[in-house]
Amino acid sequence: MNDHRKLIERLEALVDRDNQPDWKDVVRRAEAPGKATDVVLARRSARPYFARRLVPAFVLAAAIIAVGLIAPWQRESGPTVVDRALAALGDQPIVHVVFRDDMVDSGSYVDIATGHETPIVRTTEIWADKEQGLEHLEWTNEADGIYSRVSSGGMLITPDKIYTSEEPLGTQEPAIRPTLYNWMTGFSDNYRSALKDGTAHVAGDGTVDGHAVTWVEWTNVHLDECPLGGVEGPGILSGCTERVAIDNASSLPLQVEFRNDKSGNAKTEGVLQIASIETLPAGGGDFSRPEKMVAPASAAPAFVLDTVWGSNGNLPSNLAGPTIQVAPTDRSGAAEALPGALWAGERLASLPLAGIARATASSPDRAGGSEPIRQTGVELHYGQTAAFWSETPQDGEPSGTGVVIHEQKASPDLSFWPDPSHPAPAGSMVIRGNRGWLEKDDLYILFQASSHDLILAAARALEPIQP
Amino acid sequence: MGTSAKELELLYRNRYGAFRNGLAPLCGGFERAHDAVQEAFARALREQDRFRGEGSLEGWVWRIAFRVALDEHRNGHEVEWEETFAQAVVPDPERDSELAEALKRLPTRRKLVVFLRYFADLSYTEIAELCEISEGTVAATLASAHEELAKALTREGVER
Repeated sequence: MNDHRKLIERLEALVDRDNQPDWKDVVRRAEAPGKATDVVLARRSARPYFARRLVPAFVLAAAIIAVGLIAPWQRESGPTVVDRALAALGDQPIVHVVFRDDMVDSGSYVDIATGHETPIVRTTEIWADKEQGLEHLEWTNEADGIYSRVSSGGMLITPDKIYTSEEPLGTQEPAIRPTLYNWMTGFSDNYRSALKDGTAHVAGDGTVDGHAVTWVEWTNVHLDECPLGGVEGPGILSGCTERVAIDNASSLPLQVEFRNDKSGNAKTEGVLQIASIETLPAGGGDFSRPEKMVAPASAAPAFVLDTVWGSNGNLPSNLAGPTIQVAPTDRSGAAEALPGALWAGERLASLPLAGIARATASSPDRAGGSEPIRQTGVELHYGQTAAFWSETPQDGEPSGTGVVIHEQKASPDLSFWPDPSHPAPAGSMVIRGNRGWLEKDDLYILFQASSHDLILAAARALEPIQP
Repeated sequence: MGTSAKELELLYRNRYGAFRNGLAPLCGGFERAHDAVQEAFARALREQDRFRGEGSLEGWVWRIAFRVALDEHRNGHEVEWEETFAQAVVPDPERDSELAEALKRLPTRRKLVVFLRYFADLSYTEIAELCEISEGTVAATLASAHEELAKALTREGVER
């Protein structure tokens, strides 16, 4: 393990220790937003300062004006779209809604021979009792005809405490962790509030899943509760409009879209299908604590090129992370390093074999003094792969055309391997985005490729390496 | 859910320096970072009832703080947060110009984790929560950043 103590000392010397906190100034700013007296603030350009305050105010004002100008239902005789939607929803205190969550790509089981895909579909069920401060969310991933429950989790928020199932290791992160999604729980409140207080306005007609619908939309004044559609990051969000398709026949909402309208470039950031929605009387609904999940025992470290993934909470508090050594090798070296190793031949589709590497991953020393875990595997690169993995595989879409195949014997760290208790059926694999996972001939194989088709082509072509 | 002014004040007094140092690479200096911290906590104070307890209070305030700093960067334009971190630089580069230059050249994700670890003084767990990645990924990314920085400094013959 490399010793980077000097480097760390230099990094730590870059920060400024001359701190002068001023809580009174914070309180002043909080009490009189826009009237901060801070001397630095006064020197700043006025544009971002006022933009921060005026843009949300402008959006809100524009929404109010739009309601006044556009709301055609207010001029209708008889029940309006909004009236009917409110009546269909009911006026009980508890909202119960079930979403089909297409915002999360949970992947698919794919038959390698035929390419037939069975998507893993996420259903999220929410009960919200705003008066009591209770919110309960349960989600389930299922694959039709393969598993009724691939994975699941839940969370219950009470005024005093939050109860959650353990994060089920083996599911994809970060998008499907069992956290309460503001845009979901928020929707159950926002929808009714927007209908009631007149901020919602009719935005046109359309069709959703064969149903004639009326679109109703409103600006979410809680700007930071707009979803980003699964984009990673520290939750820096921007203004959004919630747009709901109301079924003309039942007056119930079928779909909600979240659109980022900031900067005038409207773009849909996420879509939720509403499987059902109802309101329930006080005392109704399910506010039981979610079932606790048992985390699997500590798994072996896994590797992805120069990156070792996770060690299930055994990371030391210091900066000694897991390490890996990657060395170029050839077919003989690969077969020796990993007996039974597979490859896709000298060419995969039109892509030449660009390189073979032997990788050895080591976990950090355990706190109890036990020996670190070591793991050896091989990597095969076809086509252009260098641009793919300059950082971690979660960094988005790769560039170039190529495939990297990682193979190892031991079960990889569960945090990036699909749930091992729900393996792909024989002859199938799991594919999500530009990654694929396959268990074959006692090997755990991870594919990273520039296209779905290349993952399948690689999986189909695998055969034992002949030294 | 919500939080209280007392909790926010305690967090502020305990972690002011970390917030200021953590935002400085984004704001382009410690002075402007101070202003961003003040603004972020003021906003948190105003919106304290909206803290929903989905993560730590500090994580929630960090998100607000990043948003404040990001607004500085936007200057009226839409900017992705990773794009912003791509532009983040050591606020006082003369303290160690070689290291500052090496940090500048780091890939965005690695740079982000380095800044969060050493400037914002966040633990692996806190970084994982903030970036919505696993602790293992944090460790791996940081380890890779260490390697790359060490290589860059050694290559230039300046590792001390």
